[in-house]
Amino acid sequence: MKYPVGIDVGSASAEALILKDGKILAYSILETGANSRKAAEKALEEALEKAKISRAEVGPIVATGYGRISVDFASRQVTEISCYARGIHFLYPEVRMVIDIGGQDSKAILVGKNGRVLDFVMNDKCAAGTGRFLEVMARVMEVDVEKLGEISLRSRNPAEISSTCTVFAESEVVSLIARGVPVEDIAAGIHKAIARRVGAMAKRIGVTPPVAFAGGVAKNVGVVKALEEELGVKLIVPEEPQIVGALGAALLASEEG
Amino acid sequence: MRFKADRAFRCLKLLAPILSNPQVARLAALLNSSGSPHERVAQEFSVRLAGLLYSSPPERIVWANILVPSELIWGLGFIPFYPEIAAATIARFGLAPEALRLADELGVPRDLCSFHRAAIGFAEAGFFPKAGAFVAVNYPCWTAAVFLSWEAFRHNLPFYLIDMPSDFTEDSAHYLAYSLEEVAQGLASTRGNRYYIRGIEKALRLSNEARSLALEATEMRKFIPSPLKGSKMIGHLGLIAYLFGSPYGVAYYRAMRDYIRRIIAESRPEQEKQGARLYWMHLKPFYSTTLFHLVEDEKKAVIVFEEHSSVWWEPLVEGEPFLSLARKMLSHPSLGPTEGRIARALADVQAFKADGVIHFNHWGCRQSQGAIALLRRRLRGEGVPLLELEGDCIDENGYQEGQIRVRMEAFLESLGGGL
Ligand code: SF4
Repeated sequence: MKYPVGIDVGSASAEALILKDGKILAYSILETGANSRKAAEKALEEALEKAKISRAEVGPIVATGYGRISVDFASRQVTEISCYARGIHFLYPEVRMVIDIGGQDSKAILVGKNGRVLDFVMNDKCAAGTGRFLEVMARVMEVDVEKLGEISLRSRNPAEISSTCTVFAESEVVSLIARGVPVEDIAAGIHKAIARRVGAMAKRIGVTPPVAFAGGVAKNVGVVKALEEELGVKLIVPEEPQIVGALGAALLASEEG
Repeated sequence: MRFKADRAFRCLKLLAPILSNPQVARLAALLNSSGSPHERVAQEFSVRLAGLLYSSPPERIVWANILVPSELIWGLGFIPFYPEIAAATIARFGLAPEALRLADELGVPRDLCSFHRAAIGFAEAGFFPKAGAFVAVNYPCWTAAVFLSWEAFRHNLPFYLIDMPSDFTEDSAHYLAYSLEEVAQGLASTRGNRYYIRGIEKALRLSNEARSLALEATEMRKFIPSPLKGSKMIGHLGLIAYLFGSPYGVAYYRAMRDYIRRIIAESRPEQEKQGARLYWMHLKPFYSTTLFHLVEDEKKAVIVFEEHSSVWWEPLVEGEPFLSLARKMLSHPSLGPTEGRIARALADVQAFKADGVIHFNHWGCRQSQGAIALLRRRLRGEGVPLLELEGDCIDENGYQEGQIRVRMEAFLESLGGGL
């Protein structure tokens, strides 16, 4: 018997996930770097190591994500939209909408009862409303991006960041720092700005609970809180929100075999 | 600024008197043996039109925007020139960025529709045929009227504005008919004579004949498998604006009808493998992209019909030319509340058994996108998925291949293709 694999090559991170008997056997997450194909190879190797199986034992492989085309060893390529819907449906069959904020894009997907995509909307033209926005702001604030979420939870009075453009928002943050606004308020303001942007995008196709939140940025508790406030719903965040795309791809691979 | 198009343009001007000869135009079309019969007619017409536009005296040429009825211009004995369509044609050859840069340098705001910005650039560079008069209708967008009036002002030539009422009533039809008659009188007077009503009636007759043939072709396009490749049909949209009222319109639709009839009888659709059925709304990029290769060749989806291919008007009445042209204009689905456009889309989706709708959101076009949220909601209410593709029809720098691809693929996957 072979193990189906899903590989999700995003702009910031690459994930590989191996299934066994319809359950997750192992997965890996690493940075994409400059070469998507190499990232996919490395992610697969790492997942194989964790699963303690050899390359010859896996197949079929479905690739997804923005770098999916470069994964030439995959049996086929499927968009991340379909894979996120399939992955989230596997984890939470009741979920009707999944929001994903990745490194350089964000999307909202309406999921049907069978895990099929009913509608979707994407932002991949502008850094605002993506992980990159957070990275830029954390750098300006000289705060570790991973800590930004927790810091923001201490805020009582989130700062107002009105610009939707990353470049302008960056200068707003610089002037907030100069004015001595507490770091937690700036962090909370940044999260609110992201939530407003992504929330508006999700509302375009109709926010339909239960709503799940996936992708790397879902690990940031500050964004989760701000997005919950913006959408007026409690969000379901998977234990490992970064692997939902690879999981969906692996599930599609398992249907192929 | 030097245009890459300079040499081609000089060549065109030199060859124009030859190209305007119908026999030469026919020969040029016949040389393209790969096209279908109606495509060859389209080609013949394009060659001849280019020849006429660049070899006729300016007094014979009228610049207009796309919803000024071609029947009126042909019928009065003038040759219509639609700068928006010319901009799209030239964009096909990759020359739009230069024209847009020129428009930029002239200070034309960038958030204006690039059909007009490119037209302004090409006009400034002197690439368009010279005109004797300008006619604009302030619908579907005002920019065209502003652009045409500006050109008329610059060259000190007559400009006629057709003021479009926002709803279709008997009164508004008479108001518009009056306006059209005034334009007819004004245009005729630029050549020192009264207009010749027989000419307009003849144009109406030709238009009606083309309309009946177009309806027959439309009916046959409902056949499954879909007989024609929709991508080619979207490519002809600009041309269609010229055809009604000219003998070429009749020839084009007759050739199309006979061709569809034949390929249905012989079970030889243009696109062999056909998966998801798509209805296409608004326009498309006119420069070269891989979009339709992805849709039709890679994903085997088939574009079964296009919003702008529809014959939306009633037959014209020869005895009341201006009133019936006014009625034609006023019954356009995009006029008035957006409900009309949505109803037309829903009816087409049903008639052509489309699985989904693609709406190409052209940057800067308020008229097509203003009500997109409503369109989405109504289509979803009927269980019809909609994909909005964002890009620019003219400016290739406004087209993101990868991003369009992801959306298109995801949409086709959601329709069941390949999952
Ligand atoms: S695309 Fe829209 S804005 Fe541009 S000419 Fe057409 S209707 Fe006007």
